[in-house]
Amino acid sequence: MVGILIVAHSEQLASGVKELAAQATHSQVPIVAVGGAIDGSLGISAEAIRDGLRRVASNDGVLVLVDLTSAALSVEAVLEDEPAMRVVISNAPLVEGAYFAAVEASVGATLEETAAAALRARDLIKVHPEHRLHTR
Amino acid sequence: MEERVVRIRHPFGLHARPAADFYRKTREFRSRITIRNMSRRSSVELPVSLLNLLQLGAAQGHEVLIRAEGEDEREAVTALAALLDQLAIEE
Repeated sequence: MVGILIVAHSEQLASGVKELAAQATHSQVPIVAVGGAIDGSLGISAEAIRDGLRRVASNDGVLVLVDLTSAALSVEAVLEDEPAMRVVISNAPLVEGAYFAAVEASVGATLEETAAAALRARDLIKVHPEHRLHTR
Repeated sequence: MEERVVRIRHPFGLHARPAADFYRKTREFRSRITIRNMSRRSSVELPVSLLNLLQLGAAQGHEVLIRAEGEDEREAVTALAALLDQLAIEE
């Protein structure tokens, strides 16, 4: 099964996104959350990313979801030393992307299908037009 | 073609985990499955996908039309209607 790595600048943010995606899939998908700098402050740790990738990696590949651009850059840097890993870094929004990706992975989707599902989350309209009327 | 109207009884409606559970169940069948929220006038019949399910705006008390067409259409509609009832009980 495709694994999912959540990379965020905050440990709490990464863990919360993992919690949501895991609950939607009854914890059937391997998900690892990585967040914050080594000293616990906000930031990104290359070491933690490397460790997270190794924990979630399998032959089916890993989809990485990030909160902000620098997280993606850090993952790219780590991957330069891990040429054998099948990894896709997603441009999807973190929360919706993780939810969509986890559900797709849980039904046995490939890495490519899981990555496509995460990107579809960009089209999600969360506020229904009939709800918006209430703000008038 | 097989169809059934089901009332959403889950307190949160068809969102988050219930929507994921519903979508995952549809993937067990080969029939073409569509869904429509009968309780929203603007709602149209849509193929089942996670995105479409989340955008149905199906809240508690809403009625949704589940329609399946294909070799296992009867099993699909029966299983999906049962799942919606079961999800409500689990909460």
